[in-house]
Amino acid sequence: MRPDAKPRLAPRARLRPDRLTGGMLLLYPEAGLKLNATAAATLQLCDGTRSFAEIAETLAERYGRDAEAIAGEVGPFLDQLVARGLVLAGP
Amino acid sequence: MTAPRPYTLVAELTYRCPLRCPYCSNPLDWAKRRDALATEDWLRVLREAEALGVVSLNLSGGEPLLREDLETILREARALDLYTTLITSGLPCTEARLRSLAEAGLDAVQLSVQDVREEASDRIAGTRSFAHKRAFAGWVKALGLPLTLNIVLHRHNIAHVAEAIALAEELGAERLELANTQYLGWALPNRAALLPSPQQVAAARDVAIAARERLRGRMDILFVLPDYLADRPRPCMDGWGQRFIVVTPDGFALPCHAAHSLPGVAWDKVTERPLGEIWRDSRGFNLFRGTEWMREPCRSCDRRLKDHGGCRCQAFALTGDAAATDPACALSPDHRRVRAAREEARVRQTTFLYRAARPPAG
Repeated sequence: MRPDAKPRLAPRARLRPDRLTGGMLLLYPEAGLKLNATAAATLQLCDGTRSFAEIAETLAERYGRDAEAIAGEVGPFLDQLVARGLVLAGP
Repeated sequence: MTAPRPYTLVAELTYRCPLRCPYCSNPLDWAKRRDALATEDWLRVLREAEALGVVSLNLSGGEPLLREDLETILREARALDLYTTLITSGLPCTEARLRSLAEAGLDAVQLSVQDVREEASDRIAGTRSFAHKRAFAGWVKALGLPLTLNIVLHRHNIAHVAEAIALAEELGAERLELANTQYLGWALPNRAALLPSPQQVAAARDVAIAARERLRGRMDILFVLPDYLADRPRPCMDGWGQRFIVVTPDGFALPCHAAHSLPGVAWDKVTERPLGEIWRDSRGFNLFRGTEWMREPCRSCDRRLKDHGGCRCQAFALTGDAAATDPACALSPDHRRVRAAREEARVRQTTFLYRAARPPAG
């Protein structure tokens, strides 16, 4: 994920709370993912207006961690979702 | 045993369908099974399923578009925040109806085509339908709904996988299911006319894998190997009573859409018992849950948690014993039955038996 990319959820993906566990789910046609807290927080910031660098900074502040380290963890996760067509990171 | 959490409800709203595909997964005696659930029943089933943990809803059949209360069902699904997919032949439908379904809360559409060109597709469907399906796909895209294209593969269309991928690209599908026929329901009496050769399957798989690379991020391509040629069983429904609840048009809650083909089980109706109780406590849902029911060679097999012993309905259909290892597995003592079916398909050229109101004789 490039620092200036502005990721957003693809229209076919829906982020929603999981009533049974209190966690978050990413649902898409005929499948879904259970998200951990960081993954959920990341996707909630992927609104198409924030850059990936800004997202990493926001998460770093929230979790009291280094932005670069966060980007190193969250970037591959978002890249995977891009490869699956669940996150759009194009212009 | 503690029941796991179901994630998906498959609502088979009716067995009626304008198509007559010879591999239909509906029961042979579908015409005797009336639509027994009223709109209110379905709404309650949705609420009970959501309370159990279900987050996605597949509206299926038969042809779900034949239900006039589809919009009401969709509004309830939306209120429950379910991710709802319409699994459809695309007919009968108008652009206005599809818009009304989208407005009621439909999230995604899975459209079947029977082959890649009109004449061949209509021949398998047993009715003129392909031209309408193309128009339907256009409406889906115009409404901004995600589109999955589904093609059931068999001997007569498996050579067209490259064209199927091109068709899916042209129609703007985000997902393509290349699903080899499962030999249950109407497909079983048609097996010798449908089963492809190992060479056909290998060639199709290579095409699908190459396209999957090329289209990564734009289109998901799912290629389901035919278990008859894989020597390993498929992990049917991700395990019995693990993730899926199927509710049939006649009101039965089942672990899979063919479970009522198994003898000696008194299946529960959703009109007679709460869904949660059926899921957790009923004999049917617990029959093959987990691994306790398994015998050898499954019991000590290191794949038992992956493939769950295969398909119970196929085990029963081929051996008469629903607790047997799925004969699709090369380790099954009954695997010769699957090898014999391959041999029969190689030498026999038979015509299709189309889905009809009467079960086939014999």
